[in-house]
Amino acid sequence: MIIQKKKRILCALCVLSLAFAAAGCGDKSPLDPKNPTSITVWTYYNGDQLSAFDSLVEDFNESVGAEKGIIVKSVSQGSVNDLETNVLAAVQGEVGADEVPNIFMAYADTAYTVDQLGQVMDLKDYLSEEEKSAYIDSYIKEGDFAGTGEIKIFPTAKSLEVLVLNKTDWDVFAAETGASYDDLADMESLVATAQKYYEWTDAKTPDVPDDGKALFGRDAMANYMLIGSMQLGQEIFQVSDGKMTLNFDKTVARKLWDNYYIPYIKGYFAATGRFRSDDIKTGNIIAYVGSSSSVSFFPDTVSVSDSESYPIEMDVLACPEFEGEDYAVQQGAGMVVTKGEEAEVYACVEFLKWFTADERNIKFSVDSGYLPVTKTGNSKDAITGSGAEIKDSMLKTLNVGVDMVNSNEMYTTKAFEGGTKARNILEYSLSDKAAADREIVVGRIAQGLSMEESTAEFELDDNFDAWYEETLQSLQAFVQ
Amino acid sequence: MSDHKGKDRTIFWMALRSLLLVLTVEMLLLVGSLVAGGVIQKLNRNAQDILSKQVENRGSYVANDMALNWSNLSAISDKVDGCLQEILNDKRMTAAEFAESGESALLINEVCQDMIDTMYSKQVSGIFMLINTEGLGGSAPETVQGIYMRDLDPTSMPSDLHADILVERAPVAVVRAGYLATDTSWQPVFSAADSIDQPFFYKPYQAAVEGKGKLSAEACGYWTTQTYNLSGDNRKAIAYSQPLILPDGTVYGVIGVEILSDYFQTLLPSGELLERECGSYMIASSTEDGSLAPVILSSERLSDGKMDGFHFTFTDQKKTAVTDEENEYYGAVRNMVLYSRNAPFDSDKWYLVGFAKEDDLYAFAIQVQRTLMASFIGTILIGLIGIFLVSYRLSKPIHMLSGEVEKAKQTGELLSLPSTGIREIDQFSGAITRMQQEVADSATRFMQIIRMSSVDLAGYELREGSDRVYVTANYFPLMGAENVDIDNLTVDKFRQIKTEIKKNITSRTAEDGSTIYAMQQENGKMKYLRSTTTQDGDKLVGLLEDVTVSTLEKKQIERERDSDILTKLYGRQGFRREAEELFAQPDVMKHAALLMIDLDNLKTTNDRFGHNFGDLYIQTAARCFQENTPEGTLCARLGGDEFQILFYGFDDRETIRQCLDKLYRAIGEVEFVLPDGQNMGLSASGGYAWYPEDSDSLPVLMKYSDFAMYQVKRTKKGQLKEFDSEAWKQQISEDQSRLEFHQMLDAGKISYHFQPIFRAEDGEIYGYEALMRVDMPSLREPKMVLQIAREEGLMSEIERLTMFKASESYMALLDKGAVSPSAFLFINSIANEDLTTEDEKEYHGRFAQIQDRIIIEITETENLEMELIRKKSAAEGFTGIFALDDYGSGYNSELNLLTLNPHYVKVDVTIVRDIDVDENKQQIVRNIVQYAHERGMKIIAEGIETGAEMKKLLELEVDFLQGFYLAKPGAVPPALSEDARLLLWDRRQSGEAKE
Repeated sequence: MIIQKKKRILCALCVLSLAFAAAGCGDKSPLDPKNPTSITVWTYYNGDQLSAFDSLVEDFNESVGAEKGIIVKSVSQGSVNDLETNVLAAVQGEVGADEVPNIFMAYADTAYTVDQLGQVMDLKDYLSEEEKSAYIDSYIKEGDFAGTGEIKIFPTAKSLEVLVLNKTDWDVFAAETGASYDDLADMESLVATAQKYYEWTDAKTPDVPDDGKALFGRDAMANYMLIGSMQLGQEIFQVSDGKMTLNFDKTVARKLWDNYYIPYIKGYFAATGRFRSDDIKTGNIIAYVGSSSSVSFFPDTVSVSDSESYPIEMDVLACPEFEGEDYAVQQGAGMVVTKGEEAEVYACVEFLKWFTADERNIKFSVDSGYLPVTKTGNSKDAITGSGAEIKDSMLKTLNVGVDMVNSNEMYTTKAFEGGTKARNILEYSLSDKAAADREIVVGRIAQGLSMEESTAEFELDDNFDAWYEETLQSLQAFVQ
Repeated sequence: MSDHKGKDRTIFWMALRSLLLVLTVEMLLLVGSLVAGGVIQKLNRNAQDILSKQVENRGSYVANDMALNWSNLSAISDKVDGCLQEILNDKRMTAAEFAESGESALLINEVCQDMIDTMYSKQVSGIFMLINTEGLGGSAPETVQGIYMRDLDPTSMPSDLHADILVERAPVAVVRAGYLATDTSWQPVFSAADSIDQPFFYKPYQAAVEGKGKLSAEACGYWTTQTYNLSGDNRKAIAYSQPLILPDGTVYGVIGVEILSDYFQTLLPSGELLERECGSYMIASSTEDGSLAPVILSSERLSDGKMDGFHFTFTDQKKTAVTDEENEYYGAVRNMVLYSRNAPFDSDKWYLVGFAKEDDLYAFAIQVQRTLMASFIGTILIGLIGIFLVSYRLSKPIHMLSGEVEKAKQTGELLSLPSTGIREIDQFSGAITRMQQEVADSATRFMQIIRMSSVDLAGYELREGSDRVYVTANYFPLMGAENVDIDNLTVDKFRQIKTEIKKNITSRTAEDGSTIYAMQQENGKMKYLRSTTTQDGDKLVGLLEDVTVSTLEKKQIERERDSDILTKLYGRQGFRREAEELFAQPDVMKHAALLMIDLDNLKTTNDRFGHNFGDLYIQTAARCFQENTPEGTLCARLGGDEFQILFYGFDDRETIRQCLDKLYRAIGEVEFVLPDGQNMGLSASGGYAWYPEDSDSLPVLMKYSDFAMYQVKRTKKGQLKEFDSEAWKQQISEDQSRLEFHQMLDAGKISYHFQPIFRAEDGEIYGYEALMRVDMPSLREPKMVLQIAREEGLMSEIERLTMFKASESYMALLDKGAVSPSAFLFINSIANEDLTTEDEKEYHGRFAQIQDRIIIEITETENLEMELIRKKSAAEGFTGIFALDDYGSGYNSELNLLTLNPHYVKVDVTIVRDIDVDENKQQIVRNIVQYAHERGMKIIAEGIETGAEMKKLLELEVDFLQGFYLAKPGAVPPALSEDARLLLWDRRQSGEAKE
């Protein structure tokens, strides 16, 4: 009887193992091509980036997705801020919010916030060591909030800041004034060149005084503050273990002040359009520092009026730096996978891996102005050799970008609670003040005051001190 | 078994069949209930209903959005009108002048925020406004000022600083104002390229212009029935636009909202139609031919490109048939009313269509069908497997057991039945095993006993009705036949082989009915087998036993028993057996002689010198016989002083005679010293008979030789004489008569004839003599009968027979009237024999009627015993009258006459014969007549055969005459012969004459 019983148990085990084998077959994939798993990806892409991304998503759905049973739906939330707001609303289950997406694009700060809410999936276990090491280390590290090797942000496309130039107009200026690209290489030279350009353009209309044009604009002021500070030897947000220690050095702040606020109120720098690319389009400025991804928005023509426009060429240069350490900003959100069913997470990782494979990553890069995230993809040879159709402007951007990635230490602030808001303070406190004060200056000039008269008030140390104290105070609110 | 042939099924099949039947019935029930229930059709209808409901609901949402929300632009339109009015007032310009001035940025900046708010609040993906008074499209100017903004996330909360808004078209001044970001395809003005295909702004403008102020702006509202894209941009969209009309009726532009196809698709979640996103939504407008033209397609399965192959037709208001090259689709339609009745574009009909491949739509029913089918098949499969397993498991142990039994049957090994795990079967098989074990044990014991018995045993079994023969392996070898395939032996074959074998061996039947086979083996020795068969019911069991040893032993014992201890010669049995064997082989016998010898003086020797010496005498004789006969001669002592010697294998009788002579001489030469010191010779008498001349039969020859020997013994002892067939025949004859005598006695086969006795004086019949008649093959003479009776001491029997039989016959004649009632009956009685008292009584009882007329004839004997005579005469009813018979034939006739004092004297035939010529005889008669007459006795002459004799006797004055001449005896006595009557008549005549 005992033998009989054993036999029965054995039989039962056989049946069970068969069942498991049947359920688990297909390389342990929890996916079923006949019953595809739908995943939603939220991006903030616009324009070319969105088209590039959507076209890749379509490719994926038709090929690997169909084969493995994954349907990816791409939803653009329009802007980084909208994306963040909506993600948080969804994650926190606010009334009227959408369902939490399976993947959303996010900067470290947002990812961190969502992670604090317990909604971010650690992808460490979904990638082999080999797969992990394929990515550029600092990109992978960005998602390691706890410093335990976790991967909570999957790098898909990174951008950095470059200097984009309306070469057509620059060449006229350069030809007439002897300016060269070297004059755009560091901060002090940039400011000086901007002043030279202002004066050069002002001179074009001798009958109108102080109607010079701005050479330069800047998109991301927070980057300017953070990277500038790093270049000058100070890290504003020192984060360890999710806790931020503020290090807003006054000397550094002053340097930043002098190299943006001062030229701005004098009209050497400008930021009138929504983005600096808008300013380029309307002929407001001829150069700006902005994300490499914004190059796709760089226009072919400049419309100085509704009826008056001319074609321009562009060029891309390395981002001007302060004298000091070589830091470049590492930006561009990564993909954050939210917690969900096993099949969904698995599908997300499958998609992200596919998306970041060199061939596709480079294609996406050349279409959108982002940089490939893998070590092998991040080379000029790989890019040119990829066979992708590359616009001239993109090629220029990528060449510069790759050089910069390779010659600089890439920096991005570590995530901490309230990081986004703290960053926004850096984003707006200086630029808003500059914009407001410039407004006053313009008004004064319109009333017939000279530039010097108009700006003298703002160039006082007190003005700086007041701003510094105010900003410092605002920032200190985020120190834990 | 054959009786149940039709039902010869295995357990496996029985179980399998029953279970299969149950399964089949169950399955039929299941299928029947499903088909009858129409479940599948209901499911399909249900799926259609759900689809229609979804389309209905979604259609009402979408229609609501399109007709009431998105196209409700009166607020912003009024705002724009108001602003423009102010600007015109301010600048003192007409609308046309303003439009031409290129200052539309003023108006745009003024109303931009309101437009953005409108876009946000209506959750549309774009909003636009064109400022122009000179007409749009067609002959319109190359560029038109205006603004076209997009919000790519219309459903999201409005962003601060309009961060999510990109402008596609806006004057440079507006862009420089810095609150709007440009899209990559931004242009300062609308160009002709924007109005190539579907001038989304042209139709309403034109409608308003043609309406000449009679139509409101809303009435001229228009939904593009095809998607369009702005130049430099590839995003498809549809738009609603309506003219901008100043209160004075001036049409100065168009304002409208745009719905990007991508966005519109998100408002048509096709996933809600069917599971797995199989369904598709389509916003369609009707074309002139009544079919539907796709406007917006929302599908996970279809792309716009693929729609070309589709053809939509109404089947009724709510349904549409959808086909492409490959598949059948089912569609539900919801009509969307976007325009007021009689509005310029009222002829454009809009619909929301939800459709899906029929396979997908009915997926649930199909799945149900498949699941049912799968579970049906699964149930059948599992059922079949289960049934098979159950049947198999049920039958396996039994099958296994039966296999084991079969195997054991073939190998002949002892059953060892493994456990099946089923108690009942194990108990059953255990019982069988034990039983078989016991049988085997007893068989083994039996076999051991048989083996120990050192006798080869073999056997076979035939079963009635079966063609199978069970034969032990050693059966045929024992019979001397090797290489017989006993495995495939049929009954016929078996019998045939047996018959074949039996041809070559001799057999005999033993006393117990068994058959003994004697076989010559190759080594020359004999082998004996005993075969017995037993019929036991329908079984015929044959047993073959090697009895060689016992037979040989028996033969040895027989031989020892058969041989004479004293002489070491064969005894009687041994000789007979040996001789019989020889007699069976004439070619071995050739010429032979059987000699019977009797030692002459044994009795006296024994008497004189004792038995020991007698034995020595016998031994010496035996040795002599053995030594003086040729080798191989069969010598035997039959017992006592009798020996028998068979000479055989000779070519002729002469040689045998020489041997006999040699033996005879040798016997004569033997001498030995008697205990008393005298020398004594051996003396033997012998007789012999020839083979085959006298007979080829051993018993006959033995009889003959014995006869011959006794002939010698009776005559001159000490001789060897040949068999005399003549003497033998005589002897035989005697023996035959004697035999017949007994037969006669036993059967009472004796009859009596009667011969009349005539009175001499007148020839009248005085009486009759009863004469014995014997009618046996060789015994015919009454004399002989009496002789044998006397020898055998059976005279009393004869006496009794005579008395009764004669009386009986006479009574019969008397009854018939064949004899004279007054005549006397003369019966020959044996003088010295008497009837017993019982016989006398019986006789008197039966024959009292004639008893007083019976005269007893006493035949003369040597010594007549008067006692007995007296007793005769004293017998009850008897007269006591005697006649003395055969007077004059010898035996003291006179003495008898004296002692008996008879009434009648019968003169013997020897006296009568030739009395006519013999004086002496005449004298004897004369004397007796005289003697008799003097004493009152009467004389009867018997045996008269001639007239002369009769004549003389008459002369001699005898009283009565008897004889053939007068009358022969007969069963019915004849009358007096003619000759005798004449003679008597003559005599009387002459006598009378004399007187």
